[in-house]
Amino acid sequence: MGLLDILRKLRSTPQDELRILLLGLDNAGKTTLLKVLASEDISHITPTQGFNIKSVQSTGFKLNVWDIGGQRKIRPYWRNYFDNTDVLIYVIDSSDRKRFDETNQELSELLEEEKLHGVPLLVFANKQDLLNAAKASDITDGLSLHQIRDRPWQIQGCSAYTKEGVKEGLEWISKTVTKNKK
Amino acid sequence: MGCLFSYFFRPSANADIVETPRQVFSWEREDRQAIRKEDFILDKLKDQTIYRLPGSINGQQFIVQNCDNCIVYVFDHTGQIQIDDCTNCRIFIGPVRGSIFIRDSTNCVLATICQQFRTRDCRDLHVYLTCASQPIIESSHNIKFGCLTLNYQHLSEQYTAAGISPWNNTWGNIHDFTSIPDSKNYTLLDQNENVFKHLPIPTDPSCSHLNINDSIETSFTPFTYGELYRHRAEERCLVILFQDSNAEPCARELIALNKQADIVLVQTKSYAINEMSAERLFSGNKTYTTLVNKGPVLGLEFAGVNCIQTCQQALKTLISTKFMNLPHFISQSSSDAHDQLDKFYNFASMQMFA
Repeated sequence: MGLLDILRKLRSTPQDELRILLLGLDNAGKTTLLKVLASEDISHITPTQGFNIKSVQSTGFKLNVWDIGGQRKIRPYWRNYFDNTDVLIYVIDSSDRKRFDETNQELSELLEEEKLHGVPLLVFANKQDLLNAAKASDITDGLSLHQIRDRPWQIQGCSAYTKEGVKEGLEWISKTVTKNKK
Repeated sequence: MGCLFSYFFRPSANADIVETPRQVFSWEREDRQAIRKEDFILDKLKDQTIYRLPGSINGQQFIVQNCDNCIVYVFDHTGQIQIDDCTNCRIFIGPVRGSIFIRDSTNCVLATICQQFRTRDCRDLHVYLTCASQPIIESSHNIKFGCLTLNYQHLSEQYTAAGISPWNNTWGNIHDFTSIPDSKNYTLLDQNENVFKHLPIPTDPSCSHLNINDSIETSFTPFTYGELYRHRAEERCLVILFQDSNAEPCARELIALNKQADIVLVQTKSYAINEMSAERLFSGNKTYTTLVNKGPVLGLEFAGVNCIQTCQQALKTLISTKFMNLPHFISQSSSDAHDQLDKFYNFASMQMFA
């Protein structure tokens, strides 16, 4: 299931454009995920210096996915991309336990941003295929996701590399967005 | 036999939590659960030398953390690598599928073959690379980068297992996320600084049969000057070998022949040129545009005095004596070469990393 499939499912909503923002620490797998959503080859991916965007369009409906570089130095630029976000996808490298606190911190700050108030949140606990990966349920506890009250949220374990778990996350997005018809 | 899969929904105001997946993901299978992750993590070691031989890691993630004054050799292909909080370590990691990320480490030597290379908060590193994408550094200082020249038994299969080509290596084209004005956080090592000048030669009898050596002549990834030659004025030549079982052997012999005539290899790149790009690269010549459809091409950039003449001669000799009918393209003039190289690399960026 890729971008075109979400597009098809969402075409029946009164919205004419859907904007998805992909954030997370550097090396989380955001760009790989973006390429998987776009059904593209993932064998030549370079660390993102600015951002990547994929757009798909179908009679009167447009879907844009923005993948923003996550190095510590460039996280201050994330706020330039908040406006009009319909879905926030936060990607975590489940095997990078050393940086769980750091990613927790960044996600907490995002959830306090005025411009992202109420925006549905999908957390992809990525890299589940790696040996050192923490389970999605453990990550849920670590991120205190159960305390979120102000927006719909979901956590989904996945591997962008094997593509497992990705479509499950997207299905939640299409269900959630059609529920939140403007 | 009861029903193995059922799923529970715990409805709440904001979240649907699916307790059990509808399918068993690969990481949930028993055979995968049986692997002990502790065998793939080196933690808090001091003054030790560790060897991992071919077949011992087999594509799994590998982690080295909190180690001091250790030597680590991983002669196998791996998954993602993390190296954290290490000091005075000398580490070789075989072909990495994905990224290798070294953080909070000082005074280390790291040699590896990878798809992505990243550092954060490091200083005083010697890094020897075959890297498929642009290496990046962040908040790091005094990082020395060199082109890794290495070969050992089974290395070529490990490259394949990790999805890495020896013809795509941008070891010296570094992006620094925290660059400083009037100075640089990194430098490039020249061709004389072989990896075993800084990484100890492995001596354990268990790996003597691997014939590990760092000579330029036998290296699996050819030595490329890359950024060391970017601003030099010597004449350039682009050679393209089209998809063929003889393309790689011919390329290696061409590199060696050229070297004897003081023609250096600046850069190589292998990718599938699409028809539109081929039209523009080969100025509409239909012979070439048809050839790109056979598969990825192998491009080589050479530099030196009378480069084009020397390359043409060397290639002609090889094709007529050894590699008959090998489809190829070679620059005809200096000004052509300049333009062709620009296009070749630009189309590569657009197609590979778009």
